[in-house]
Amino acid sequence: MSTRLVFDGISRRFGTTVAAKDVHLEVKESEIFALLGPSGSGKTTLLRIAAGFEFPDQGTVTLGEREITALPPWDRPIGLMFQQYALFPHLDVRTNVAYGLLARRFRQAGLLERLQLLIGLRRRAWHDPEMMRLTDEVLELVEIGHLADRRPSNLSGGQQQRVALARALVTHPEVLLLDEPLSALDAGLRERVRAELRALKSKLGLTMIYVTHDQEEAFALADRIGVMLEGKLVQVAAPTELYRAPVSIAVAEFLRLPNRLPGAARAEGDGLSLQLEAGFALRLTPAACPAGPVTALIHPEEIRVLPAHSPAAQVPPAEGVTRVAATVTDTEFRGASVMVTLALPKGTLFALVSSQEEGWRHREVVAEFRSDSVRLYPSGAAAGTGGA
Amino acid sequence: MAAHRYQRRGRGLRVALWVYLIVALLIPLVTLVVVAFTNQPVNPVNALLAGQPGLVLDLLRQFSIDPVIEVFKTARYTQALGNSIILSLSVALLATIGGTLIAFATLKPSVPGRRAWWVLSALPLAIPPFLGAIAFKLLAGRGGLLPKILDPMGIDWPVDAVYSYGGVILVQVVTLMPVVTLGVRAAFQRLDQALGEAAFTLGATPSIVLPTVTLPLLLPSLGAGFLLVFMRSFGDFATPLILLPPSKKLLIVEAYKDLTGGLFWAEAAIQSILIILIVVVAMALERRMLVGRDYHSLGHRAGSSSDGAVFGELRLHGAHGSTWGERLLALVSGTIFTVPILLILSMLLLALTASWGDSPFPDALTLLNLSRVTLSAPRPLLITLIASALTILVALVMGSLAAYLLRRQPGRGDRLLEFGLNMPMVLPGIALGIGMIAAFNAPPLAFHPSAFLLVLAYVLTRTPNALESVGAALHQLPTSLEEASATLGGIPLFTQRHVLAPLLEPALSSAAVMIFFSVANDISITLLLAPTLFTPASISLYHEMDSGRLYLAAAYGVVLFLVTAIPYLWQTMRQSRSVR
Repeated sequence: MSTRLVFDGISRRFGTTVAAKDVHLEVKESEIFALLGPSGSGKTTLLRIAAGFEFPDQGTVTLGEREITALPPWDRPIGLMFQQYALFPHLDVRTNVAYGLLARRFRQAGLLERLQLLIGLRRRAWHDPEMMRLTDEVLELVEIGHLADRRPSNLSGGQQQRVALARALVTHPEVLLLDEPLSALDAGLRERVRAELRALKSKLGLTMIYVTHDQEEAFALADRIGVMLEGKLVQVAAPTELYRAPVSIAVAEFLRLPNRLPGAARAEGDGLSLQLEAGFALRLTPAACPAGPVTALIHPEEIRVLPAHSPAAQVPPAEGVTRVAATVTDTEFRGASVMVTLALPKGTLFALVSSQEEGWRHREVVAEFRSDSVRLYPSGAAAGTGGA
Repeated sequence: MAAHRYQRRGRGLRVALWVYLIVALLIPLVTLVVVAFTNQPVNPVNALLAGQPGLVLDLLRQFSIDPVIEVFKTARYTQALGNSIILSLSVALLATIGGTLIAFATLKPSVPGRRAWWVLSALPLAIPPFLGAIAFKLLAGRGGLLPKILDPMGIDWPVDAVYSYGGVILVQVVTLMPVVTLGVRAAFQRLDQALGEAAFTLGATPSIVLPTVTLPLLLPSLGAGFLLVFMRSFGDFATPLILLPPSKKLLIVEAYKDLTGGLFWAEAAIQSILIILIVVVAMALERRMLVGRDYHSLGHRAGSSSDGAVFGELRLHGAHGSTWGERLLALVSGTIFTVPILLILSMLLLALTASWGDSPFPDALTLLNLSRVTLSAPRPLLITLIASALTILVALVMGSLAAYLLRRQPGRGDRLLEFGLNMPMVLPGIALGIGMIAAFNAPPLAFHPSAFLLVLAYVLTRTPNALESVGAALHQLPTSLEEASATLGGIPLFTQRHVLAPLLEPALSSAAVMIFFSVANDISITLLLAPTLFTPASISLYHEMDSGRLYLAAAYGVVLFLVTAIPYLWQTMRQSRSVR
């Protein structure tokens, strides 16, 4: 796959705030790329730089073969779907969608036609069969042909969202930017639209950059995800990789991964001996991290929970498996699974167990996990940059 | 490359706005100061432009505090200052009380006649103090409607009471009260319904909620309304000009007389400066009052009161009918509103009168007065229309450009620029007019007297209307709409025409109506600056009144009222409906 949109060394600061710091990013042809980060992390700035509303202090933006860093928004073949849709309230759906075609015609027009276009917008939209065909086509594509004569204020949130999509698609942009486009929809509708966006991508081969602070949305929709923290693009990875191996404890924290356990690592032979503040120790080979203060990350689904008196808990653990005694203090039902809170001598662990077994609360248990499922991150000064 | 060149446009516009402010506002104000301290009607910029820097040095040498001391020692001036302050404070107090009562009367569903009070509450706004004073004189003054009706019946109407401070107060209270009514009502409607409900669940009864929750929340709006009325009253020249006899003195009238009666430059300038200072202090207080006191948006959006429930009022099921207090409120509203209605009706009746002898009714009615001022001698009215149209055009263009610049492309010095553009709104016309005459009476900037200077003064004082109206609309308009247009390929001209223009149209038309209304009914700037060949209808009305031709004056009043008030009322209703 070729590369579509490239950010090369983009930096942008507002006063003393650094919104983007030396960002390098290559978005590939026909992929959905999610820019994920908390608010204020610079993801929206990057989007606005791509759209041409902000201009970088340093660095370049390239679209295909063409550098577009200094182009104004109207000269970029890039579509943008706004968070609150930004539909023109004074124009009906059809004219909203045709707007991009008319604006393009205006740019290319001679003086006389410009004057005509300045006088009437709607009439031009009606009278040009080619424009009308393109408009109807895209209205049908997003299945809102029957709403063409309505005003945006008479549409539901989901319908408005479709109009915004149609409006952004009608000019066939090379890249479509989406700024948290689903945040205004309710949960059920959001899932449906996600599926439709995926379908649309494979149908049109569209390149999309999707800005969101919602990791679930990014995981569900994106081919690749770029995590932005404090203006820096800290990790670019496929969703599964991002989840399994966040590049730093800061990323794990942002993804709200539970079981981040502080401790200290000591070199021991070809591996590490790890003493966790939660009150247990384990051995890791090979040494995945320099000795010193560390944070260990264990995914809840990697932890196996056994009742203390079950036969399986009586046999000694297999090679490379760490076992800890714990008490279940809380349970949270999640449908297929149950998230249990395990009280350790000096801390807590979270583990996922099957919801088919009941009565976990207050039970004495042992929790076990494979040592190689533990990821280590150096704590302190090195935090945020190192990785396992 | 932090900002693209398309985002850095507007530098030229900024420079143009500054030049305009310097010429139209700063030079007259500076000249006022120079005149006050030197007693020379000389504009120092003029001297520099004429290549005579020596003149400026001469002026500096003549600087002396003596004229100011002299003014403050003269009883005529100190009395006028005291009278003006006391009068305006009284007007502000009465208007605040009355306006608040009417606001309540139009909001409480159980007040009898609430709908009527709602409609009527905007009516006095359509009567500018100028027309109000004229109509009041036609109603109750010498040769007016009431004496004409009452004298033949043997009742002695106290005509002299009209020509007094009391008369001025009455007219100003009636015409300015809606300022308070509309402000308080809007603040009341923005109150968060949940706050009152919270008080109820905490055990408070409505009579506890009113003084402990409702009034404290409304206090900033009440204070702002009080100060607005004070400013308007203090700067109102028309009412005292028309009603007060020479023996009774107000600062603004004395300033005018000093200039036109005897060319006492220093005295006129010193009084103008005093007037401006007091008004500007009141404006600063008013701004301060509203800043940081906007409780309405605390937490979440205010609850709508569309179900008829009013803040701080519990709608009990089955509790219908009105209390005695509510009936009293209705009575007070009704009494207050009889005044503007009587004013309009008396003006209309006199405009239709051909002659009126010693009977309680006119001897004969005629349309001649009305046709004379519109058809056979249309010149003053046409000049009003031309001057207004020019003012509207320039003020709207400049106001919208400035609003766009300030809201969308902020830059350094914007706060000062915005202050400079907005401040003339409260600048009393007499003070501005005196400054302009003093500044522009000699070459090379010899604009006085000319239609140009008149329109420039109108533009200066009315551009704030456009700026405020368009600025507020732009503030409400999400920038994403303009950005959406840009990403769809719309170049700025296309965006302005097809996104901004249609969405700002209501703000523009509302500003246009306001400007037309206030320019057509202006008397202070017009009286000072209008050249003899360019006298608008308000001047003609004043002259007819002055020479005792009451029926013709009434005809002018009716025509001015109809032409300006109908669009104005329509506009106000449209806005209040959208607020509701």
